[in-house]
Amino acid sequence: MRCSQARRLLSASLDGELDARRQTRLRDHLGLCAECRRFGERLRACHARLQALPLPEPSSGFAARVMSAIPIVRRPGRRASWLSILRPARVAAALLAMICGAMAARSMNGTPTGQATAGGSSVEQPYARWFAALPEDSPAARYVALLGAVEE
Amino acid sequence: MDLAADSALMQAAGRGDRGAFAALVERYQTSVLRFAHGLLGPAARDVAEDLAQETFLAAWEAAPQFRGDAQVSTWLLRIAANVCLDHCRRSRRRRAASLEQEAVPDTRTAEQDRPDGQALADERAAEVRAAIARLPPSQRAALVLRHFEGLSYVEIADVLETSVSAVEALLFRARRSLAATLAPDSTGPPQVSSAPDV
Repeated sequence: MRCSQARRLLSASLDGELDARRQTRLRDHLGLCAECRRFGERLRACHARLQALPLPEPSSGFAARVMSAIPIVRRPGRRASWLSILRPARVAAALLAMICGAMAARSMNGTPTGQATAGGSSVEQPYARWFAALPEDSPAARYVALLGAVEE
Repeated sequence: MDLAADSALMQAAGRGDRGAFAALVERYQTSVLRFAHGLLGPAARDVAEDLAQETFLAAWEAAPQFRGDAQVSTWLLRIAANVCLDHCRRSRRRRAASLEQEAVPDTRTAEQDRPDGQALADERAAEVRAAIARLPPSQRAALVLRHFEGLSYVEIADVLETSVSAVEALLFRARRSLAATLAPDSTGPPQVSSAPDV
């Protein structure tokens, strides 16, 4: 074992974080290396001084100050913010898809409602049933109605 | 400390229960403040309290996302670490200058009015705190979590969002630097019988 490895293990040994295998390797190295033994003593001295440090306590009324700073209504978290950003984007994407679909139907059939005249009879197109199933107040239905009005 | 109860309190706080959150603030205020104080240094007690408060405000906002898969103490200290290390990054140059200038003179003034033993203890403590303040923030954070909070390497790794091996390396480098400052290599000849008991 190199001295650099042994010294790292010395630090971990102060915290009781060495398993038996590493403890044995460290002990073997220390048996041969006076420099590392001396380093271990210095680490122990530092450790003792750290342990002797007085620890700070919160000033009186700290918890009350924290609670008074907390807003009554929680702000939307990051996740909620992302959702609020994404929601309009999703609506716009859905609308765009519907518009493209309506335009494709219109270019294929000559009419946005999916009704084509062939020999005087009305022929049902594949999109007509889908358009009919749209809720009346949905943006897509409104757009289809608008396209029909423009066509007329 | 009842970990399940803490987890239940945090989940209640996530649903908007301010009383539950107040109980958690009461319980963990010392731990969070101690961490912030240890990380920021001896001359920044007011800043440490501000950052501890910021930690709890962030925890309140994040409480709805707490799922109980981490201990509340670790979760709070992780938020505190992010808040404090972010503060250190933002004010690194200014803080480095102020800590070195303020830490020691404050104590030397105070020691004039105290008994010799207490003055010496204060001086030694100030010396240790100043040495800690000179460490890089990540080493300081690991050292504070180990010595002030008594966390294991696994818990420190969880708080600092790194590996156990990295924690071991951070603590070793921190202690090596402290040893160079606080316990220079003049402790006398090596004693074979005093090898660390490991």
